[in-house]
Order: sequence, then C-alpha cells, then structure tokens
Amino acid sequence: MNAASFDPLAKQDIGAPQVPALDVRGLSVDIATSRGVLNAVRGIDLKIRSGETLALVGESGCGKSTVAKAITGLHAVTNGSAHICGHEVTALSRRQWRPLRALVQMIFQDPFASLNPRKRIGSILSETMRVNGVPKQQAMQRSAELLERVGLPKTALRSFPHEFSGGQRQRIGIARALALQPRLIVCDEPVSALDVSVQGQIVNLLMDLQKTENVAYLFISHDLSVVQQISDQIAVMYLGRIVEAGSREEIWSAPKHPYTRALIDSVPSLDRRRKDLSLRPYLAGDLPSPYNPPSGCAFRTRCAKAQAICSDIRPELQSAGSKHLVACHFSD
Amino acid sequence: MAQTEDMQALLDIRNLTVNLLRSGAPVDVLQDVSFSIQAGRVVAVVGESGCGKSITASSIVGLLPPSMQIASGQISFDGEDLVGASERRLRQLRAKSMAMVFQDPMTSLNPLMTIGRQLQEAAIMAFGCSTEKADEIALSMLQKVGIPDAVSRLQEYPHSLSGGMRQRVMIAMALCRKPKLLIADEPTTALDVTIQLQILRLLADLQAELSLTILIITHNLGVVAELADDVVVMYAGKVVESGGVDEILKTPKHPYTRALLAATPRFAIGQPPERIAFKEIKGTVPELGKRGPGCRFEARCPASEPGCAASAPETVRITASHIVACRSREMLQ
Amino acid sequence: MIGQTHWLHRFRRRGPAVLAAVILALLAIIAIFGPAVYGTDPWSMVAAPFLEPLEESEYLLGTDALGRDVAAGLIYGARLSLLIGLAASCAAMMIGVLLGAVAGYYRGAADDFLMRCTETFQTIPSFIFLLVLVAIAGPSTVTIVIAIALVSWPPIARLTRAEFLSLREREYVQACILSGMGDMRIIFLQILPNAITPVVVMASILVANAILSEAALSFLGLGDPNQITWGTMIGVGRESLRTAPYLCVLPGIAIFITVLAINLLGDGINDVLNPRSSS
Repeated sequence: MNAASFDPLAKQDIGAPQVPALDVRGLSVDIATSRGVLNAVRGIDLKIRSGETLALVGESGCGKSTVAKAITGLHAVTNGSAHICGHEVTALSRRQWRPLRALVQMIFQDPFASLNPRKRIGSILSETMRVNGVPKQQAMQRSAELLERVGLPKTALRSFPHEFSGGQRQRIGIARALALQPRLIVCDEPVSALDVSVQGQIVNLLMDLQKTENVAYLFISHDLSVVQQISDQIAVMYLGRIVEAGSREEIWSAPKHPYTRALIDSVPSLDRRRKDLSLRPYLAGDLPSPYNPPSGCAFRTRCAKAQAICSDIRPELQSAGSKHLVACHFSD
Repeated sequence: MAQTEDMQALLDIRNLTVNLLRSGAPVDVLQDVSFSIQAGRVVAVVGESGCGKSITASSIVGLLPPSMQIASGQISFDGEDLVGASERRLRQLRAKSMAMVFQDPMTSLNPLMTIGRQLQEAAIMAFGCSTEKADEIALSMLQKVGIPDAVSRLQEYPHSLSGGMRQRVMIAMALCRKPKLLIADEPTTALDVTIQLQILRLLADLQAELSLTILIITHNLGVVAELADDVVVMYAGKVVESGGVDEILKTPKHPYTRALLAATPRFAIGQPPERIAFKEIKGTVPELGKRGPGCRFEARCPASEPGCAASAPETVRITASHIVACRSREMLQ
Repeated sequence: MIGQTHWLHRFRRRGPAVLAAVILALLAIIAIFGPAVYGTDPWSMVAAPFLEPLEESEYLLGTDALGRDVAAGLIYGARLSLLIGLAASCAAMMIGVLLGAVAGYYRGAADDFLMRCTETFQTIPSFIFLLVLVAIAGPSTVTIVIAIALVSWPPIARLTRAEFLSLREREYVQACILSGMGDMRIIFLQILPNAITPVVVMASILVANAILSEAALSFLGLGDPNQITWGTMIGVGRESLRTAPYLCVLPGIAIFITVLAINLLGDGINDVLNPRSSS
C-alpha cells in the first residue's frame, strides 16, 4: 500500500516497538441499568504486543464486548487504566480522543448494521479519512486502494451496501478500519454472523493484513475454533473476569480451567456422531445473571469439579506455566 | 436414502423446481431438487447462504414468499401430495404433522403472550383438546425439553428467557403437536457454542426417545456430523451430493463438499493448531439469474474441466445411498 | 449485485403518486402564475351576485353574494393556502427534527427535558391552542404560519426521536464515532438520512393538515383579513349554504383534492426514498 501518500500518524508518537499496542490494567466497567448496577467487567488485565493478536473468548453476556467498547471510548470506564501505544485512553473526552482515533479502530459483528445503508462505499471509506484531515482526492484514491487490498473491485466504490453479501460487507468494514492505519483493531465477533466457508476467508484476510500492516488485533469471539489460527495469546472470560490466559500453544495443548475445556469441547466436530452426543461432557445451564453473580468462583454453578471451597473463596489468577494464568482451585 | 428404496419415505421430494417471478423471465431458485427422508431419521441439508436450503424448507411447509412459485416437481409427505394441496390442508398439516423451528426464536415467539399460553395454543390447534389437557401437554413438553422449573416458566414472557431457553421453548412448542416431521432451520446458528451443544444434545435425545424425523438445515458441517444420519449438500439451488453421513464426510465425491469440509476448522485438545491460513473457498455463490446452463460450481471448482460450464453434470449413483452430480471421473473414484 | 435503479424510474412506476405529483404541479403553476394570467381581482364586484357556475361564460364558476368571481377566488386562494401549508409544515419539521434528533441522539437528561416539553405541547388541544395563539398575536399570514407550526411539531419530534433512539445503536454510528466524527456531523449527515423517510412522509401529511387548519381558522373569521384563502371562501359562503351551496363546495373540493394529492405524494416519496425498494 502506498503509505507515503497518506500518513495521519505523522504527527503522533506511536511509541517504540516494545511499547505494547494495548495495555489494560485492572479495568472495571459498571453499567447503570433499570435493573440496577451491572458489573460488566471486573478488574481485567490484558496486554497485546505490537503486531500480535489476543483472542478474548467467552459466551455472550460475559462482558467481552463491553471491554471492546471501554477501550475504544464508546463506553465509560469505572476503574483501571488502558494504554494504547502508550497513550492513556480511559478518561478522555470526545475531543481529547480525536487525535488518538487513528490508533484504534473496530470491526463489528453485524455486517448489515455496520455500514450506513444510505451511503455509497466510496463515501463510507473516504469519510473516515476526510474527518481526519485527508484531502478529498487523496481519500478517494486511498479508498480504491483499500478495496483492492481487501479483495474487492474498485467499482464497488460507487455501490451501496445492500448490493453486497455478508462476507463482502465484512471486507468493506475491514477496509474502513484500515483507512487510518491503526496500530490496534478491535474485532468484535467479526465472523460469527457469516457462513463457515466465508469465516475462513475473513480470518485469512485478517491474518494476511496483520503481516503487511503490522497491526495488533483484539479478536473477540465465542468460538475458540475460529481463533485457533489467528491468535498469539488467548484470554478466556467468564462473567466479567478473566479465568484463564496464556499463549495459543499453552491453551490448546493443555487448557487448565474447566470452562476453557468446556468451550473447546462444545465446538461441533466432524469426527463425532449422534451416538456420541449423549456421552459427551457438556456445559449445562446458562450464564448466571450478572446482576447477581454466584459467590466465590462464578463458574461453580456449572462446573463438574465444584467443591465447598468454590462457593466460599474466589480463586485468583495464578501462574500455571511460563505465561499461563488460571483462576481455579482445582485446575488440571 | 441410506435405507432400501422400496420402503416408503415420510417425505419425498422429486425434481422440485421453484421459480422467482420477476419482470422478464422467471429465474429458478431451486432446480431439480430431489431427496427423501425415511421416518425416524435425521436428514441435514447443508450449504452456504444463497444455496436454497431455506427455500426448500419453505416449499415443504407451503410458506414460499409470494414472489416465488413451485414450477414443477412433487413433494409427497406421508403419501400425500403437497404441491397441489389446498391452503386449508397445508394449514392443517402445519398445525399437526409438520413443525418448524427457526434460527431466531425471539421473532418466532409472540412477545405479548406467556410461554404457557403459546404452548397451550399449539396443542389446541393440533388436537382440538380442552384447555386443561392442552396445559398438561404444555407442561410435560416444557419439562421434556429440559427447562428447569417448568411450572413457573409457563407464566413467563419470551423476553425474560435467554436465547437457549427460547430455542427450547420453540422446540417444546413444535413437540406439543406431536409432529411427524420436525424442520429445524439453522436452529443453533444464533447461539453460543456451549448452548449450541445443549440444543444438539436435546434434539438427539428427543429423536431417540420419540423416534422423531428431523430435517435440519445448517451451514455448519460440524453440526451435520454430530446430528445427521443422511446429508444433502446443496449448491446454488441444486443438490450436488447426497448420502449417509459417513459417506459424505469421510468419502466426499463432489469438489464442493470437499471444499466445505476443508474449510471447516479441525482441532483437538492437546494439539495446538499450526498458525496457517484456513483453507477457504474462493469467490461466492453465483447470484440468481447469473447461473449458467452448466455445473454451477464450475467457476470456483479446482477440478473443473472443459465442458463443465456448457452442460449440467449427470447425477451418478456411487452406492445405494450415495449420489453425486459431477462429471469429473477423477473425483468419482 | 442488484443494479441501482434511478429514483425517477422507481417513482414513475407508482401511478397514484405520479397523478398526485401532476395535480400538485398544476396547483403550484396556478398558484404562481394564475393571478397574473387570470387578471380578475377576487375582491372586486364584477358581476351580478349569486351567478351559478356555468350560468355565464365569462364567470364559469359563478359569483358570490357580493358578485365577486369565484374562479378568481380559487386561484388567489390556491397561492395562499399552499404557501401557508408548505411554510407551516417546513417550520414544524425543522423544530421537530432538531429537537427529536438531539433528544434521541443524546438521550439522558436532554431527552427527558425535551420530551417533557413535547408532551406539554401535545397535551394542549391543538386547535384551541392555535385559536389562542392567533387571537393573541393577531391574524396575519406570518402569525398563522408560526402558530400552525407551533402546534404541529410535537409528533415530528417524537417520531424523529424514536428513529434516532434505534439508529444510534447501529454499529455504523459507532464506526463514525471511532473515526473521530463530531456529533453534529453524525446526527445530520449520518443518522438523519436514515431517519428522514418516515419524517418526510409525516411532514407531507402535515402540509395537508396545515391547509385544513388554516381553512378552519379562516372559516371562524380568524384568517388574514387582507388575503383570500379557500378557508375564507368557505367561511363567507357558509351564510348562503342553502341557496348557493357551490360557494362552499367548490373551495371544499379544492381543499379535498389538494390534501388527497399531498397524501398520495407522501406515500410515493416513502417508496422512492428507500433505496432497497428497487425491486
């Protein structure tokens, strides 16, 4: 890509390569709702090195999307800090955010809601750059480059979003996220609304772009099998807390937390048949109400290993390997 | 399919062609779709979005959108012809013999009625029984689908249930009718993997207990593997391959089936996957009206030969149950 | 990909809306050029009173109790009735869209305050409120326009707010915020084009309502005394309703056709503004 023609980052200090793309410490987010205060995120730590991918995995309602909104400034943070390329971003006003917007962008889940239906693709892509001070001509030219970069023809510039399939729209969403050359892209379930065959295309595109653009991803998903290739680090979240974190190899070769194991076991496999279904371990019930979480370990209500201690004492994240952390009294 | 042909199938679809009516010439959405479902079996229809799987289901229950029309072919259900059936008869069948479960349970449940009322209504429509009897059926079905504390749940409204619970309620509602055929259209696509497994288990348990006949529509081959006896692979409105689940998943013959299988992630605890690209299927399903006379997968096919684009491939029978529509001899070996 | 059909092409396929547009275009031409072309002053007594329509070829639509030309009245009346209808609904739309957009986008305290204001306006019976406003400010074209606008914006504000409340949750709005776009730009350039369709349709019905309100005011003698409108004509004709019903019926028909045409056009606009209704 022709980076020389467009560089909104020129005026910014993106930090030395050893500065992490994202460094989150003790992040808590409370949401006031009509049913009371919801502690959606309860003190989590995350770190993503420049150009790497952290997969944040958990069921819907576990708070992973709230983390995404908190670090991009779409939701207020109650406690803790988040640094993006060394810039503290948790207490910024909209105006203070503006010069930092180019650092972090987002790819959304619903390819049908994430593109303005009344705008042509050209203006969806160029607007992002125009707002950040790129001249019109240059913005349009770069929009065309971006489209080619994500595998769509230039002619798409003049089309409306409804003329594209879900996978194509997701490519447009990726192009928009790349427009400002961010250092971090938050991918909020970017493939879960797509067909399995298209999921592969999108994950491959993201992996490919990571190599050329040196961008870091916070990749949010409920399905560990989707992130098996793209992740460098994996963090598993349950009811607002991280219950296990580690490198991809560590998590896949030996998951320590019963919840992580259940998440992997739950993915339908080509090698199993119906007669195996009733014998398979599975996770019963739903996520408990986040308004009234269980005492002690939040997972104990669905855990096969739960003992008395689990309801009394909440297990803290403890080291279980070089960088492997797990919060369980009875980890494997 | 996997069973002998002379046994009469519960559902038999023969050469079904459905057209989209629009200005100019009508375009076919389904072309020559044929498959059958033996009673007590689970059949999965699989393919990408736009391949016609949901339209197939809508044709069976007689709920095609007004812009579409069955142009030719037969659908016979329990010995009865559905294509020529009256609207009234179809309505009766939908109330009693064929039940459907959809992807999004929130839009399929009435938000203003309690769960109990909706279940009761389904039972009354199917059997014309008294409300007391219907309430009894409702409660027992709710317990059967594994909803804890079923008695108090009857009084609740759909919005107070989680997605997984709503899908269980939808299944209970379908079961209230004691249907001969349960059609599940992407029943787990909107759910978390953990909840998806719960629903798959539930369907498997119910199938075993009630010897239900299930037609499941999905794009996920993992779901197919875990649940189905027989598989129908569709592409761009046509059946490209069908057969028993092991035949399709272990010895796939059609390049499209093979590509779908390759694109499905494989994994196992203890084996960190390599950090390599997914095997993707390049390109997209050809749009309506842009489908040529030949094999519709030709443009994306790694094994395409001269002639593939010109004329449609013959259907080849490989075993008694395994059928494939591909002209490549190499593939068929 | 489905080709984007030109909006004019899509509009052409809607018979009633096209007919309505033609009627309204004719009315507009009459309103703009009619007085100059027709020549006869609607106030001057030009012939014998109570000439019935078609009785005399020079005054095709007859004359009123004072011998004034009814046709001239209708032509001059078209100008003012349409003008008041358009101006009042434009003003109402501006107030309503602005308040509704701000309330729906910012939610919270701003929303609470603006919606309580809206409800206050809505709880007062609108026609009585209109009478009071015109009675206080004095009947002139400008005050009538302002008064009609003041009583008709609340439904527009509520509708706009409802649209904004749902649209601002869309992910494309979040994408705009993430790109550093300012609030005004997001409200007016990103969300409003998606929210405007039902608002425009409602505003087109407001034009019709404004014409009716003005007619009712004039009928009660609270119209601008220096201007002739269709409402004034009905008001004047009322006294001789039994002997010369055409004096009320003719301007009544004019109002009826205009209001109907506006409503049909509103439906047509609704279809055309939606880019997905191309098939």
